[in-house]
Amino acid sequence: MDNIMAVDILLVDDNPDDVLLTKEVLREGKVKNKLYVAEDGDEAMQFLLNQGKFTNAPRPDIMLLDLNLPGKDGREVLSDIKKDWNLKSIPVVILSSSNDEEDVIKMYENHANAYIIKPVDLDKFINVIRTFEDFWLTQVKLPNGDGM
Amino acid sequence: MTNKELSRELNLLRRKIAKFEELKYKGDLIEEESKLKTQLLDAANDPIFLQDFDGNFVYINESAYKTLGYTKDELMKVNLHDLDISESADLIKTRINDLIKKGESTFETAHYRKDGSVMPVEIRARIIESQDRKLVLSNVRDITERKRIENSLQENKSQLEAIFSSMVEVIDTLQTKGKLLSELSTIEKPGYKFSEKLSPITVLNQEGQPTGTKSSFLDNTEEKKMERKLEKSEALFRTLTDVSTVGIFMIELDGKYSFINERGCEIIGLDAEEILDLGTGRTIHPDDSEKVIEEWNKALKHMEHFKCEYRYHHLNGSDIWVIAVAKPNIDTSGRFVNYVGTLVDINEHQKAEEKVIKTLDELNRSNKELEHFAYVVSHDLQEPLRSVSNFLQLLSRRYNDKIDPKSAEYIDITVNGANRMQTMINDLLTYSRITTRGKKFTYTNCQAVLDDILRDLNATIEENDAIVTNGPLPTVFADNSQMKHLFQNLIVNGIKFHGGKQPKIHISVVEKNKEWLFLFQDNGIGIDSKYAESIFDVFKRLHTRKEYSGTGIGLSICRKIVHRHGGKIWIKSNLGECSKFYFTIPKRRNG
Repeated sequence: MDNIMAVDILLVDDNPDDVLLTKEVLREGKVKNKLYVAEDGDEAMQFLLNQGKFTNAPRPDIMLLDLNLPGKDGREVLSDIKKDWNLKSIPVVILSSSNDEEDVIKMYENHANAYIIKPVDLDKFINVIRTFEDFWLTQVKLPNGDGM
Repeated sequence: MTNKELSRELNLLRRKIAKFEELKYKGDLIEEESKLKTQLLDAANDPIFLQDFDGNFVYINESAYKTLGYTKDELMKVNLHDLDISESADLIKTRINDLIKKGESTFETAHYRKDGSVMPVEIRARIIESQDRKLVLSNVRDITERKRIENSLQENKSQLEAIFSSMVEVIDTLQTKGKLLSELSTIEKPGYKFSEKLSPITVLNQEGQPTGTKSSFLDNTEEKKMERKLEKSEALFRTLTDVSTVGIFMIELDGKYSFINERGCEIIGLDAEEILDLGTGRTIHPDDSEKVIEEWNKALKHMEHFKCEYRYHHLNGSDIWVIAVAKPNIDTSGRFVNYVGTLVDINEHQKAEEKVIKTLDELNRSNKELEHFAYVVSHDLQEPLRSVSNFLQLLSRRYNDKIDPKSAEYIDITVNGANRMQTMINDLLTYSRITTRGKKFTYTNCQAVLDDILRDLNATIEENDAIVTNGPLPTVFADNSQMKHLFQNLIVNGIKFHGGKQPKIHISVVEKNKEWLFLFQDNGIGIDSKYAESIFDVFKRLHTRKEYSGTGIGLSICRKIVHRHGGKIWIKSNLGECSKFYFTIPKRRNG
């Protein structure tokens, strides 16, 4: 296990229940990871740009982004990231409670890497996270390649 | 000279004297007669001309030159061609030819007075012979008065016509606005019992009453007849304006009121005297006066008809809404006379309209609020629901060995409930999005829509061994994705409630005048007709969840989609045999 570098994950979500659940499920997972949490869009941008209390924050290998956030919402965060030359290569997975087709289409148009609807059923959620792990954390060569 | 001779001479002389005296007497008589004749001719009230065929006067009577404003000598030098107004002078030759043929003729023309003014006349001419030459004797009658009455009668008639036509317009306007003023119908059936005693109305009196005070041998029966006709016409006018439930007014070119009936005064809130003197400025609503002036200016500029809805602010503080319509009154010669119009109190109507608009606004707002509310609530409800369900499941996973079977069952029930609730929330979201997220209407080929759905439903159709057939389908103006949703819901519905038989669904369309009538017929279980309305309600279910799954939102979504397209949806069903779902999609109005 030790020869595998921990993956830095930034979770942007204002709902503590969902944060806890994601943490729990990721803890049970097979990929060693370190989970950072930003509670709203502004905090997420500060984290990514190493501003404020996040001056020492690592560049995340992957982001889990909720859409409905207080203040600057997930849609704006995504478009800011994809406009920034230094940040645009960070894979962003949208994790949303909205199954609105328009949201889904818009997010993909905005270069989201995946769109996952938060399910009510825990098994489904675990499946989603496992798929995410398999795909993004083991199969895909992430841009910050020094971990390989 | 003998006495005999002398006496013979004397007798001869006497006879000569007698003869002379006789002759003198006769000559006096002739002179007297000719003098008398001249006096008689001069005493005649009507002008008399005697002229040759070239129009040179041979004789004129006193009335002839006085009426025309000349002295006798002056007029004798004027030729008839210069006396007749030009249009008529051109016809003199024709008239003389006509006169020669018939010996006598009567016609109307007009003469210039010395001051240049025109006098309409009626002429009776005949040919007489004097000293071996033929002359024309013309008896001239001044018909100014008769013409005036004729015109005034015509004016009166066209005023009535103008009032009727503006009234019809008000009725039309009100009818198009959805209200019928039943009282107005009484106007069209006036009680024809008007009294001769009624004095003519103000406006027609302006130029003075027509009177019959001409000299005694002037035949004015024609004028009298016309006067009576005029009086009758005025009486009818007066009766009409008196019984009228609408205001009737006349406005002259200078903007002054020349007539207003009683009802008009009531509506305006001022007495007739003030209106005729000062206009209605004192009660016209200050917020509307600019609009009214603008409309009047517009109408006056092109002599077009005036129409405006505005308010009067009565001195007691109350406001009254009116619709005013006025038409230019043009006489037979195309001359603008004045504006004749009607004034209708539309206060109640206006109030009702305002209320409807207000209610509609409120309804729209509350609908929007409700949709937003449903959307937000649905979204926000999902989060705690996920927490309940997910953490209960996490509990049973992590502490599986510590939970007894009964507790595990309770957890299952709770999780199921939460799942069902999420489905319902998603259904509500879908339902509210029909209007909030509706797409623009485009030309939608229904056959293509159906083909898409049949492809998507392929598995379901095969699984249930269902047969879906259809007749020719039109292209409609609609939200493509919603039409798909609608078709799909109705087809799935037909397959789902098959009741053990092989599901057969047939789709057909009938073209109506303004809409397409769709029919989705299945051979399923049908419904009791008492549920024909309520099955379209949100979450209305006719069966238990065990019998048939689903939240019961499908048909509500269908109805909402059809309503958004301006159509209707209904069901006809025989319980246990079939269901026929009908819906209409209006054709595009502007092409």
